[in-house]
Amino acid sequence: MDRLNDEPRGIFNTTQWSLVARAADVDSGVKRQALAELLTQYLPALRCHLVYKMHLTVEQADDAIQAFLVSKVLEKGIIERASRERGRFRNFLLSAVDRFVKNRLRDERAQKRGGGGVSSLADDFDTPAAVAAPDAGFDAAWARDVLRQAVDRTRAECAATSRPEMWAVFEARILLPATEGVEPLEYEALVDRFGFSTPREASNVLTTAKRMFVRCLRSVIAEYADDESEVESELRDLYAALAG
Amino acid sequence: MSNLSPPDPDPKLATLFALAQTDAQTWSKSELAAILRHQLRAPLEADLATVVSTQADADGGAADVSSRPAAELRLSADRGIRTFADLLSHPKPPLELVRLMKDYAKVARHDGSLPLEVATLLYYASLSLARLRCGQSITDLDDAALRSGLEWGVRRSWADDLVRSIFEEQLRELVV
Repeated sequence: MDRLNDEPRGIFNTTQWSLVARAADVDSGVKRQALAELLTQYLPALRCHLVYKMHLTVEQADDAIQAFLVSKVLEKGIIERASRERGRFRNFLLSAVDRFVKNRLRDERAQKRGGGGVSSLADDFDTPAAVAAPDAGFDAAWARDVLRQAVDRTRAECAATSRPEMWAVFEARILLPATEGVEPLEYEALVDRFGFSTPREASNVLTTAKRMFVRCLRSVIAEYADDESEVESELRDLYAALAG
Repeated sequence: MSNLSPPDPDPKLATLFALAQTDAQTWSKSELAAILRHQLRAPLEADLATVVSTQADADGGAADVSSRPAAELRLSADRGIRTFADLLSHPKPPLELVRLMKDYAKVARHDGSLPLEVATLLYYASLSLARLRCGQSITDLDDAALRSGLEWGVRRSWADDLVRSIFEEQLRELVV
């Protein structure tokens, strides 16, 4: 899983199955909190963008993202206000963070010069012009974040349904070859290792596991995509971002 | 967080997204190759017995253990034909067993017990085997249709060498 996890696991990898429902809650406080949690799941992608494109240190990037979440998402609800015109959520978020960080850096420079100016562009995130051009590196990092969540959900679902062999087959035949570059485990070895009666039984389990993973993958994207067609286009875009 | 790495493309990881872009029933080439390999090594008697049983069900009775297919199946192990690969590589395989293999492939195509491509490959392999080793046709397909199927088969990059060699031999025969 190294290539999915460019950072130590633990802080931001908790799956929140109820995020969509909470983000739609009539209580704006609940809604904003859900959106904030949703964004933290994509923190690695945001962090990569700020470090590699905007040349912040990791600590500066984390501070900026934290400030963005507090002041723009939780307090001002820019994601909600921007929803009608935002276009692709991923691009809107990238643009919003970019602008926030640029304004923040400008304010810091002004304060160092003895000013104290406050950003006059703080509320213009929700205009169509604010949607950034796609950033291939950000998209690839975002794709990794989506995959990490889908893998976590698949693993959890296998555990919850008492199907450890399903997870093991998926891991041995699909996941490790994709993440570690190892050869898929031969069906004969699967039979020996997991006690299947025939290779066909192992291949049937693998088919079920693939379907489960795809369902989880779609559910992750559906948490920020508007509808099924956007889920489809997002799947294509994220594939392209990683395929290079 | 010191191990933050650049978000470069990663084609291998992209294959995980590709799973969602294709029908879940679709198999990768490596999977098809593995399944075919296992099928060729599978005990012939176990799989072909299901065909004998199915045929008996269709006829409305119990499997006739004295029928010629059933008898041939029982004798196959004694003749050194224990797997599909043994049957395909036998210099003079019993025609009844080859017919059972064809019927098995047809059933597998229908009930999904094998990937469609693997079952189709076995089907054309049985037709070729009957013509090449038994000197008989066991299909109503004409030569043009058979050629089309064989040409499809040799284009399968995941096909086993044994199967491929039979297809190529049959294609040469058809030319003559």
